[in-house]
Amino acid sequence: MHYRVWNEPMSNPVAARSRSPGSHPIRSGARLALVALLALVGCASHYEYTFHLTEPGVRPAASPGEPEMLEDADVKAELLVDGVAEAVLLDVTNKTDQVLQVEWAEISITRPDGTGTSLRPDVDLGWLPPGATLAARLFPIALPHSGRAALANQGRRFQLNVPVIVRREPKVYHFTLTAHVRER
Amino acid sequence: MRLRLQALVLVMAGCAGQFPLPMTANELVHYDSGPALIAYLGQPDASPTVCDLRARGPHLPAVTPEIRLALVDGLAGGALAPGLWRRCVDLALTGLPPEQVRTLFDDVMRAYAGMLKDSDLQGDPALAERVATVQRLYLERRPGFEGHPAILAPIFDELRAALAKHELAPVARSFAGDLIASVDIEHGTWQGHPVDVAMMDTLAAAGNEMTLRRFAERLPRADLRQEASRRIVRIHIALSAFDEVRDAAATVEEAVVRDGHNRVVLDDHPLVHAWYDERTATIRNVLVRQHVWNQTATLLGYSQQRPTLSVLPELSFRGTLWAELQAISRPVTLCSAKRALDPTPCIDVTDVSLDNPFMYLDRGSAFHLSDNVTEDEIAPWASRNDFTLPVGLGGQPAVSLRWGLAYERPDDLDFTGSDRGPDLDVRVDHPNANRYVFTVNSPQRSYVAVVEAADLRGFHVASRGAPGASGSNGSSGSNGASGGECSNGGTGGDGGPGGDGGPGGDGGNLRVVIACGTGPCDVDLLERVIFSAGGPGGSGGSGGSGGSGGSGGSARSPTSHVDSDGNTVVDDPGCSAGTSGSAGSSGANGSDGSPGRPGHVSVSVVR
Repeated sequence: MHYRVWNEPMSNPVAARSRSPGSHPIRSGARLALVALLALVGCASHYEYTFHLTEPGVRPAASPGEPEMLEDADVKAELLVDGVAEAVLLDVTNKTDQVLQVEWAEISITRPDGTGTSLRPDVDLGWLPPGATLAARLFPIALPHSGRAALANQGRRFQLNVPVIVRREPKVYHFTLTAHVRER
Repeated sequence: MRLRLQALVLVMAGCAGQFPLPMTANELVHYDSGPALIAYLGQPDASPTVCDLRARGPHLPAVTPEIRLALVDGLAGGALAPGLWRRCVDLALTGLPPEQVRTLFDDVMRAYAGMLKDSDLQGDPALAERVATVQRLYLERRPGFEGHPAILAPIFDELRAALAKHELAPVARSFAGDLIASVDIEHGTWQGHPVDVAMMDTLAAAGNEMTLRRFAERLPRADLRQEASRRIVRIHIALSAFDEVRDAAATVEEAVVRDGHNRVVLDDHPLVHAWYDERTATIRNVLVRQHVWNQTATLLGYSQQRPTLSVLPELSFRGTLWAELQAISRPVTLCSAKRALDPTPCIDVTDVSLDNPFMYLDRGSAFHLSDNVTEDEIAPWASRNDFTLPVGLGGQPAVSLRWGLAYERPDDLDFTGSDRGPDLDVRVDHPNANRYVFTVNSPQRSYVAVVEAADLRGFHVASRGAPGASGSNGSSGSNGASGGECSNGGTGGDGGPGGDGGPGGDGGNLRVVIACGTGPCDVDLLERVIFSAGGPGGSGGSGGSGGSGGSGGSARSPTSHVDSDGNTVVDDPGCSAGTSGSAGSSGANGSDGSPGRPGHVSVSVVR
């Protein structure tokens, strides 16, 4: 899916211009080069991402596009990174007999270069009563989809950090995600 | 926009290169410019307190338009780390007059709109973090902190339109949607419904702190903001691990709504014991850079992980310093910021004391180290192995943080007189096995320098006589006269002799007392590095060069005629050319002056 940049005209200014008879050959050549450059950019490889949890005990996705699952005695987490929508889909289930709070505003992702980015749900969420499940769509993951920056992520590890108050104790769940980068 | 920012960042990076680093907060105040602020904040451990116009420690005197622009572009262009930028702007805002607050928010939100339009946002996580930082600054700002409506309204209108037309890519859309939702709360509505206490109760029952926090920060009415805060506190109390918090919920709720936190009165709950969390404690080594001729010093920091010298960090102690208190069920640490509305029992920062003359508590609840001190203040620390930060809680000694301490080798204390070297009284103390302290009393003033034992060979104290004056150069000889026709040139005159160099001044007398203390002391080496020296004699002047000989006269051709008998009669036999005169001899060089004599050095070693 492609989005146009806000306020940027949709039409291609180069394509829209027609060559007038008698135009200067050098300028025509330059224009040709520009068209070629734009064509090259247009043809530049685009990459898409899939991520897989690498923790031991992970339950693999039932089928491509389905979430992977991890759980302990307190929490069940189902996780899927939507590389197109640039969001992390996280379903959390409270397995305890007490209310569980995810610190939704404190979730972050640590990138392979060590830098961190804050993520937050696209709608405000609250706590989870015992047995309840909440589905969060966390943004923005902001992944490079072209060039070396995209390729450099191949096989690299991202860490999703989810602070939780479980059984009244603060705890941070770290989910390690390995990126698989493929040409689209 | 992006090009402009990149250009600006490049300019700033260039400007940052113009400042010698590390740059202390005092030095920043002296520079007082936008590029200097960016350079300062770019250093490891730099404190944003310099941005606080009401700080106790060194800080910017004003946020000028140039500094404001540098700050905004510093973030938008990626020259400043978002977290540090946020803290700097938060602190600056508290001291700005209202009109400057509005202008700052205008500029910040213009930059925000520019970043949101940036096509790189979709795939640039660093840019996304910068956008998120500005967004949080705007959404979490204090009531009354606002930009000019004429500037901000069009930005928000444009965002609303772009959202409605689905013109934004996912990352920009998610930011814009979140921002606009909070902006609407400023008009008292949430998702199209007026906000009231009943709505808040529903949210509190669902533990929805996220929306309540928006209400607590952005609702237009103070009473409704407080109601939202109250419900956030209730959520926190319900989740608290402290039984005593849940058991006294109503009392704690009132305290937190009123004060922003749940401070423990240490008189009622005396300290049992305290400790640092070694995993999170800030550990640095202090390097003392001495400016001996000014008798001042700069304290700098480095660590095992980061050997590069930088400024010393501020210390907040929250989450690092922990204490067990009587009748409190769990360990506690320092109170969090008031906006956190945290009911966890905590120690107020005013109950913390640091028994270190260089530490002070500044606004923002962080302890700072004075990084520009006098030599008199820092020299006594030479006796210590480390830079200790003893912490007290409620007036009771609690725990000590120990940092490494080292003195950088200072400039030599090398005194040269205008003629004779000054007489000096030198005292060397050896207060620590690894250090020597030199106290030198000259006729003008006293100088103190601390030298690590390992640096002793590269340091000296000296009284030197002045160098002798150089002898004058001899005069040049005159050139010989040129010879006339057939005559020889004249002899060149001799050069004059060079003057003798003046004698060097004598070194001054030194009276040295070496107080070795109880430990072993390298007296031999000390005697070599403390000395008197005569000034070198002046060099003799060069003899003047001899004049060149005069050039010989020209030759004359013979002349003749034939008489009436046909005989050739010589009228003039002619002559050959004259020879050039001999050059004059150069004058003798002056002799070098005699070197001065070293003064008398008396050394006494005491224990």
